[in-house]
Amino acid sequence: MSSVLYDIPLDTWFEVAELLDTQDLINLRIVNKHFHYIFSLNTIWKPLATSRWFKIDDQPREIIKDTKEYFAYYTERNQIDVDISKSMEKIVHSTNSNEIFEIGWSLVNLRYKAIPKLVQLKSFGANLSIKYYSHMILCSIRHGEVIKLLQELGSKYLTPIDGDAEDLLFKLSYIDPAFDRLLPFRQKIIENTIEAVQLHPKLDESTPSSLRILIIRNCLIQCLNFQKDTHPFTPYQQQYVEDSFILRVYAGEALGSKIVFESIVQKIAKYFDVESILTESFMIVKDDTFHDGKAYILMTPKKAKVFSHRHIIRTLGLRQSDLEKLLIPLTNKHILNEVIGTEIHFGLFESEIAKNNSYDEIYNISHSSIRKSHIQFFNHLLHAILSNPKFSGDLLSSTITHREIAEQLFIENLTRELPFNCVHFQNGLLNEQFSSQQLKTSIIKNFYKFSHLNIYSEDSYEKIRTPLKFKIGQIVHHTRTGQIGVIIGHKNEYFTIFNQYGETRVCDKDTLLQMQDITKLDLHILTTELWIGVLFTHFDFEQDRFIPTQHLLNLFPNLRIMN
Amino acid sequence: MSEITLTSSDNESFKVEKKIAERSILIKNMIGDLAGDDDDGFEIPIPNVRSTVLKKVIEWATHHKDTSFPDDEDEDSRKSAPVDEWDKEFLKVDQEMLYEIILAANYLNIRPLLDAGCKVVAEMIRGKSPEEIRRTFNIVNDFSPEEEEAIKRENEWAEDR
Repeated sequence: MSSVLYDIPLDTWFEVAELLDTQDLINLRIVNKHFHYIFSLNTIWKPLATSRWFKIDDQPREIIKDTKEYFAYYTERNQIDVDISKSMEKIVHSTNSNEIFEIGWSLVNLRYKAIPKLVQLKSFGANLSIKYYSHMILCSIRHGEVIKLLQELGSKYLTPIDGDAEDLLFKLSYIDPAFDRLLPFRQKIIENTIEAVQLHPKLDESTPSSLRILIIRNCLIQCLNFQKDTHPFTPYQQQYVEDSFILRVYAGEALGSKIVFESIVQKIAKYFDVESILTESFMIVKDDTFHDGKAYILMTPKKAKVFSHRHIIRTLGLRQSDLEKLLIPLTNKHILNEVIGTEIHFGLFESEIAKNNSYDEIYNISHSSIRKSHIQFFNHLLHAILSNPKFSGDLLSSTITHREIAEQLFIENLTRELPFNCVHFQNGLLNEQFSSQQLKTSIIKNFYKFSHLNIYSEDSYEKIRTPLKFKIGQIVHHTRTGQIGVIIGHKNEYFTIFNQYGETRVCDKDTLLQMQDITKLDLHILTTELWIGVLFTHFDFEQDRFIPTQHLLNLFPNLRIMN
Repeated sequence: MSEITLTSSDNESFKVEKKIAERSILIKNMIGDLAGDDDDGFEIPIPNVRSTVLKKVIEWATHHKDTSFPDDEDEDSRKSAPVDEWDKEFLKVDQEMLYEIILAANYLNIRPLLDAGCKVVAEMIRGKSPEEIRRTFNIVNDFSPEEEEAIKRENEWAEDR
């Protein structure tokens, strides 16, 4: 006879299951029919699947809600994770550019399903190349989602936004390369603010909506200020702040525009039963203490003021019809402008292109300070939007005459910065006039040239008689500037280093000294810019240097003399 | 009311301090409902629990009368906490008794005791093969060879973590 323990209530078995590993649950399913039944139930597998794959905010929630058989779902997703790990191993051990890109592109096509595993590999991977490729593929997947969203917003350019502005802004912040680092701040700030509002002495059931909004605003500002004070970031990060991304605001790294700020207030207000409409100027809330039942709130992080309808007309001296224009709910256009960040006229854009200026230069004169490498992505998006006939009309009144220049630049940028993004062409997400095959071939051919790196070149090889002062991968510091960097190339009297800011610099050999006593912090600083993983696999403590990838040595055989 | 009498299914009575009895949320709520009844001979029948088991449960509650346990809501710390050494010794009983203690803890709503019981059961399963689990619980494999083969195939995946 079987043990009585076997008959403990189902609920208790569920609690036991929570204490076990997945492998134990799998084993229990083989024990006998009864256990097979219990340990296949959704009650057990749904929470496991949820906590494993749906913790990140960018997984489509409806998937987990609509699933019928969670054990099957768990098995399927687990298999995908296994395959991703294998693919990444293949990529980093491959010495064939073709293969690397083909695998990478297939991973991008897995879309959201690849995200949790890639985030894990990127964050905890021991191999620098795995971290780099995971990051790049992750970026491309998220870019794909953003491109889709931008196209949707663009096609309904003048319609009021659908759903929460905060949610749209959040989805658009997927393109922030620091998305994973910044993500936790969203929940943290929202939760902290809600708690602070709940504890606010002036808040009770009778508090009018407009006052609630002001309380929320004050609490939010306090939480954000606290965040800023307790989350110091280096000036290096500061200079790369991307103001238009809502996650940067949550993290205390950027102040945020009026729309970004208001959208957060709006989101939190919902928890306190205050529904609101955002317009270009005012946040409108239903409030019975005002004579027309509405309060009009003018709000920025710096100041806030509540108006009645009459009050606005009197103070601002507006005619009714002018006022109505100000009270039109925010449209997709406002959200698009927020992220593409272009205040510039498309006419200006066209004339700049005509003057043969690159998008980069145009962006430098736009109001948002966007990280340099990111400009490439915006170029890409802008190009997609502009070249789509759907966007003609309001957005663009005439066709761009210098499209070829734009295209050339675009392909170069794509190759250099976002090689995995070209999948989005083949998926029909972007302009179809590019042949994706052609683009792919060009990317595969050009990506690993590293022409800007001065990687040890052919002719100087002959001149080497004495051993080189440095080996590839050694950590050096620059005697004048104090910068630290990794040796990545050599030419004549000069060495190319990849410095702590993620830039490459060519330095005279006499200005460089090999660093002694390398600390974990030094390595952390040098590997923060994941790009280093395209050249090196890991730091070897015995040889005291980073070890170049086999692929790199194959591509540049002369590097072997430095190895 | 400082003492309460608990009566087991087989009609044995135990006098316990109110504080100890209140380790059971069920009893606590019953006393709460009857507050004002200010007499010491308060008697609560526990019809689902045998005297030997009730005695064990009272022993546990007496030992833990001053312990502060994590909040019921705080699932994470409740589940991650290792089994207290004393509880581990206390629960070194045969499977029959363990089963009855778990049922009693469930019925009387004594969360920390139920958690400890679940942890002990989980320990009996963790890291064991299906065959070892069968032996532990004395379970007969009632799958036909074909069925077993099919499930094994279904289970044939390595957890990727």
